[in-house]
Amino acid sequence: MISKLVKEFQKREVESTTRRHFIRDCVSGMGTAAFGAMMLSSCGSSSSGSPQLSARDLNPLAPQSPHFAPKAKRVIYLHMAGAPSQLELFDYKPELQKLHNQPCPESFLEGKKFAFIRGVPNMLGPQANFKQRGESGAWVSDNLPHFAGLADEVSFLKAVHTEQFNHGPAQLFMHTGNARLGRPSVGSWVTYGLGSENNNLPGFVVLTSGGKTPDAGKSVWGSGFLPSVYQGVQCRSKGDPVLYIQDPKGMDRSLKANVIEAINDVNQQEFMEYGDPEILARINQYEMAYRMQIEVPEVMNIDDEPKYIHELYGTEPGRESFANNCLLARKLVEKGVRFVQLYDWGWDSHGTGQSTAIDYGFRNKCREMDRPMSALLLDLKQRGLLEETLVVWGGEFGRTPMQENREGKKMAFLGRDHHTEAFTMWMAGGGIAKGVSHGQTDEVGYAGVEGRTSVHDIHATILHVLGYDHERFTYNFQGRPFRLTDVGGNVIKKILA
Amino acid sequence: MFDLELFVGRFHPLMVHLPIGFVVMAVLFKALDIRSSTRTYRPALKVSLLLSAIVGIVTCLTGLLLARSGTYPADQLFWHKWTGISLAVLTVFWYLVEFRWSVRPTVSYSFTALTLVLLILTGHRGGVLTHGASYLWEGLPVTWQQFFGHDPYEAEKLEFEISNLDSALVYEDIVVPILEARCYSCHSDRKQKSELRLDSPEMIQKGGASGDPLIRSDLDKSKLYHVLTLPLNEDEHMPPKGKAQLSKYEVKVIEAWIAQGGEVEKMVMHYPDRSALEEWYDDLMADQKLFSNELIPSQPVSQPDPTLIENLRSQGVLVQSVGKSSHYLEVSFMNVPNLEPELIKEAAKIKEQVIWLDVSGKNLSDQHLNELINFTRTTDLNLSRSKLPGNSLKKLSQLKNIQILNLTGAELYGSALEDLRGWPELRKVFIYLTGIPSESVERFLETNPGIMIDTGGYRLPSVPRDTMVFRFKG
Repeated sequence: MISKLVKEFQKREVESTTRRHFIRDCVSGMGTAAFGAMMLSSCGSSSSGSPQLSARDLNPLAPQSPHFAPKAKRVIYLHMAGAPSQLELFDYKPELQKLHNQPCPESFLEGKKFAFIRGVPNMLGPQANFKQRGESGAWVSDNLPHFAGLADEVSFLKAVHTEQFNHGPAQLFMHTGNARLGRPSVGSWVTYGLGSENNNLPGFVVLTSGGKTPDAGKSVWGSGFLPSVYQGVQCRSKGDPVLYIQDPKGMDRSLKANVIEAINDVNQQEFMEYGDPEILARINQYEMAYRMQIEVPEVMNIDDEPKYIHELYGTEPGRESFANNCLLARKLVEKGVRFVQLYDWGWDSHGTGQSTAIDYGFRNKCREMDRPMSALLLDLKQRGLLEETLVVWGGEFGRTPMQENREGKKMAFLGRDHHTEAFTMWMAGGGIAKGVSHGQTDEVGYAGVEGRTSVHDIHATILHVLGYDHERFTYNFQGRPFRLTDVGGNVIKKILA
Repeated sequence: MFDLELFVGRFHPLMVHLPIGFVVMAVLFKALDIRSSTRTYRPALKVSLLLSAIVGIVTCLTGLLLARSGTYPADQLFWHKWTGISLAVLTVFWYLVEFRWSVRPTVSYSFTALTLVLLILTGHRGGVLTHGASYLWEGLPVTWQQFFGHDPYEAEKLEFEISNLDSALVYEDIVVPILEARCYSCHSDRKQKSELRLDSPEMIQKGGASGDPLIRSDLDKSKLYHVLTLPLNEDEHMPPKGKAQLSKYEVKVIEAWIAQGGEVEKMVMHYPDRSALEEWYDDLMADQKLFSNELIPSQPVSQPDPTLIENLRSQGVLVQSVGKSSHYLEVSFMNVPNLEPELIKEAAKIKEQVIWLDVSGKNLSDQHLNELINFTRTTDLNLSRSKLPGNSLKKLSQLKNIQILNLTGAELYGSALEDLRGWPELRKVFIYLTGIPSESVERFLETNPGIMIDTGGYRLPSVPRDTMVFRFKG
């Protein structure tokens, strides 16, 4: 055992010496490069033995002020992985009904690529009944009977568009602003920008409804090039919310405190020697894990919620479900968690089978979503939390007004293919107007014709209500500043309160 | 027509580089001369100084001619003109000091230094004149630019004074402010690029050097519309690439105004098609509310004492300015499990700045409340899930600025709502789970109809779809 440790120590020492030699030898040649980095005032990693540390490095989750006073302090983001059909929920197209089962006009297909549609598909009329709801007269279908009553609380974006027509890249794009791996998720950016309020809870919590995790994997809540303390902490809604959160039998908390203290001392020494900021992240995560033991079991426990709350959300304690996660999301923001990301799954309604049929599985998914998400809005509202919490709902893209004809054949069930050019999302809560429908699609809902909004626009808007100017909110990486919105994005002014 | 003055004057930008070169050369030779024990460099110094003086005077003359053309703003011109003239005079005197008069060496040293300083100043002022004040900084990193007092994010502010869109004068109230913010810096009394001024209706009608009409109700023949709508990359596009651009709504407004012949009397309501003006106005309103926040007092406040903030933070209190651009603070005791009245007292030292206050989930006594009533600027007070003693809201009524009061789940007394009467700014109160009876809410709302009271307790009644499972029966 000891010899192993000595060996590792020697190995590390050799590594560090060679690195230092290399750096020393290169100093003259790298002068210009170093100057370039200085010009960009890049904070990045310093390669010398005595790292320059800011207060932020030592306490990376300390709360910070945004650029200007925010309208919302927290975010709940409901992502429907697989992409629900806007044409059966919010985008009412009577013209499409008239074209039902007729061949798609060539003009829609020319030069276009679809994930599965081949040749000339038929148009598929709306498979739901629509009504205008509330005073705002927003269109909501009968697939969402509960949510329909809340149409005046939210603002709809009816002409969102994206660049990606496959789930993985589109989910990455929707959550990190880039279709390829490596960028921080919106939750990480927000936690990096604002820090975390509650000492005993992570700033960025992720809850999945069970079943499939998003196609893009955990990168959709990853921290990318930001320090890893800002990545989303996935909590389970069934069993222990965080694995090994309870102390093992026969081991009390003070013993655990000693263990963590000792480990952190060693890490601290290691850090002083090597200056790797990831060691700091590790130290912080040990400390956070320890503190989480106090509050996480309580906040993640929905057993003690009163009966009327369970009835409101349709929750069943002990299950992994979207409903339970909605209730948890409310409890988490109430305790000051900055960003709660919910992932639901099963919305990929291609019509390949019953569960993905637009008139069967899709409707069942709507039932599972409708009550919990409506309850979440109402519960936030009655507690005054909706005043300062932004709620965002959407998928990674939309669905085609054409019926899917996988491999050019007629399919057993009704379904729609992935569609990038127009879909609906909604936002509600802090800083968002009530009852606005922004944007419009053409007669069949194929493309946005007015008030089109991009994924970057959505990110810019989220950052705006949190008090950040998305163009000035940057992180220096690989010699240049990076933004969540890359080089695009406009705040969607029409839906601001 | 042969404008000799202008012709000669236009050689100034060419000439200026000569004295710059010669003066620098003279300074160099002077430096070499000081170091050298022989008099090797004296002849070279003499020639370069003589040349500096001569071309300096010629440059001044051309400069004065160019200035007479009147294209440069007087206040900016002043410094360049007088530093330039002084420089020419100074080089003449330096020459005399060096080769004609016998003076102590220190005198010639100071002439050398002074000439160099003046050269740099003159050159810089001239650069500012032709290229604009920020020309030198624009390539620097943003933080450095801000250090030099230039904020690249700060565009010229657009300010409109419109109380009612219908009766706004299209030219005076809408078009002028747009032109002022986006065009006047180059086309007004400040500068007249292409001999164009846009700061009066007559001058707009007159147009610029090309002689093309700026305004024609036929948009295709209107130069102003043409340059505004060219693609950004075209050389003729205005404002030039890199300068703040007109928004698409502003371009539409100018378009509508041009289509009306660019006249100056009409109000918005006289326009046959007002859609462009209305869209522009909607966008303007949206812009105005972009950063407005009712919960932030409009009057500024002094900076809070950072040591007090540090002290509170070390005791677990969250203290944060609401935004980096504001001194107002939000304070939360979320991370303080056992809140002592002393800690609130300590926080009250920064009460002038605290506007958002979170005291949720605490067991509060009268002692706590006696300290809380000091936070008179607070606009948003969160007491949710807290235990409040009797009459506490009566006490808190001293907090005259509260707009939002969150009492969700607070343990309250029955007559609590009565104590909320007469809170001048109160807009929203959340009383879910407080047990306040609905009759008392109704009574309160009768006399305070403007206040929104959320009693909560929402239900989602069962509907058939809640249990309907869709299954294929085929």
